[in-house]
Amino acid sequence: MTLSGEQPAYGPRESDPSKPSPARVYDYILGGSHYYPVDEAAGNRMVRALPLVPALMRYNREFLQRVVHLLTGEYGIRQFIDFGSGLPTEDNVHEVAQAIAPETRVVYIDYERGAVDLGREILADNPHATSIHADIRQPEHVLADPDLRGLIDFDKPVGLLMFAVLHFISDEELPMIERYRRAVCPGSYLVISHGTTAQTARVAAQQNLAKKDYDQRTERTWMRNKDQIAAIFGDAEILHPGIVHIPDWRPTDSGYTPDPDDEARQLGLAGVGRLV
Amino acid sequence: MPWPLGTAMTAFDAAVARTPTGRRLQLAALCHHLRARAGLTQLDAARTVRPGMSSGVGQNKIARLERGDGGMREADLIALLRAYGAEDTVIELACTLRPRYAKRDRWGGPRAAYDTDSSRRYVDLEEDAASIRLLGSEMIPDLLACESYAYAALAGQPARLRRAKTDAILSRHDRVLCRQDPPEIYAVLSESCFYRRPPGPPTVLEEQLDHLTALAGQPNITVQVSTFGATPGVQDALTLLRLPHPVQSLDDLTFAWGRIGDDPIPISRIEACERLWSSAVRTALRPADSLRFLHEFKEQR
Ligand SMILES: C[S@@+](CC[C@H](N)C(=O)[O-])C[C@H]1O[C@@H](n2cnc3c(N)ncnc32)[C@H](O)[C@@H]1O
Repeated sequence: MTLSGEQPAYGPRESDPSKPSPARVYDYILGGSHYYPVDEAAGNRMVRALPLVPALMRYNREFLQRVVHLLTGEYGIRQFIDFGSGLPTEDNVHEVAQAIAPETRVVYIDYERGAVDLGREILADNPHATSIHADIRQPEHVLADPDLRGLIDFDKPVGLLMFAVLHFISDEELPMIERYRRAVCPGSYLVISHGTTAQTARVAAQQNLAKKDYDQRTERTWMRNKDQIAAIFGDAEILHPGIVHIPDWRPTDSGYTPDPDDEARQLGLAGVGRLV
Repeated sequence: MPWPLGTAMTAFDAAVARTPTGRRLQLAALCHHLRARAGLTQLDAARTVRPGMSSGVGQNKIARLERGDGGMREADLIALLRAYGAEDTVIELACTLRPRYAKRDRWGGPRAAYDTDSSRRYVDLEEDAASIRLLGSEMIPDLLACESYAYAALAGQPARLRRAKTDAILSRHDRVLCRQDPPEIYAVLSESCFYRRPPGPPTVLEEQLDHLTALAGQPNITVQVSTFGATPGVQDALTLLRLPHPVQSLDDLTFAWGRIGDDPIPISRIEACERLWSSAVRTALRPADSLRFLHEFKEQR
């Protein structure tokens, strides 16, 4: 199936130190410590073109924390599946959720071997959380995974978390989300954060430069606009305030006002839907 | 402004640097790119071009060319690029970039205050940069300083020199900030830049705060304040520049330079300095909150 040394197009992957990977480049930009020189170089190329990218990634992590806090604390969700969870980093889903409700079940999924191995190591003593090595584009595999089945009860609501991962999925592959939506019961939630094209021509030009490099040398990406992201939610009820720029989604800072000049803000959208 | 190279270059929208330093580094990047594309080592390349010559000498010349600190006769350059399989249009571009004559009066007027090779090299690069990132830990970087602040910051120097250096800074503002196609400027300033009052009348800091607020209002300038104290590992200001690649469509985003204080950052340390940049941007206040910080800071005084 593999062409000389190349990773297969589908399925879980081994960590390859000679080629940058989305998980490790992201870890590098977030100030982590699980990356190779190729990832550092790829991250730096991206930041050179788009100097505020590290702020965007921070907005994304803050959104994750706000949402998980809300779903666990206010909406009573006690099970999460985190799709494309990346390398374990500060205030991860299980830490935020289990601080509120220690019995909360969390399953992390990533197709990058290094991310999953490290996750398992960290979660070794946590009976309610695990990490599985799978490609989310193969929902039948994912949903049949014994570790996932062991933790998640599909008769109770689940938080399906898709932070900064769906822009790695092409339009043709995207309908697989439907499979996950149908697997969970009504009252479950779908959470999405997603890369989008900047509104101002100036920033869009910089973004283009970064994207070209990333797509060619790290992984292909598909930016989507509000309507396209709304379509992913299907018939779910999209919660207030709708699909908005990431830091605008229910900010906890009372002094927060959306800043149209904030370039990092322009680059990502987020939303939460309640499945019916 | 980088000028388009006429009809011969239609295949590549070329952006030739304004300054000799910029062009020298563009030539370096172009030669490196073409050699890598041809899959040749510097030694292979030297052997191909000059089979008779000691290959060590030839390799040295190629290495210097790719570092941007050695010239080469036009005929040799053309032969080298032919060996790399470069297209005629690219060879023509390379010849345009090749240093030919040095204009003596380039450093006259207020810019005469820049009298070392490394400061001139930097001032040239700043003028050619597509983007400039600044990390200020103790002082407002020159490029964002208002006249009175720049002058105050030079306290302790003889009056005439102080005036000359201030004028030199203002001339950089003209050439960089006010040029037709200005660079993207991103600055992260530690709050100690504001707590540390420059010598001179108290109005200086106020003027500087107003100046910074006005600059941040321009679409190509973003200012963020960092409330985490000085950036660890950097005492002096850090500057990172990105130059446009001479062949824009080849831009691989590795084309970057920097300096800490007045010292150029060696290539081997650039990536580590980039890491400092990322952590500064990630932890600094959002741009809107930074402006609020500047405003409140001024009100409190
Ligand atoms: C940008 S990171 C986001 C990490 C984390 N969700 C967050 O938002 O902080 C994207 C992650 O998605 C993973 N990923 C991308 N495509 C995937 C796929 N088809 N299956 C599983 N994981 C995937 C990458 O390996 C990477 O770890």
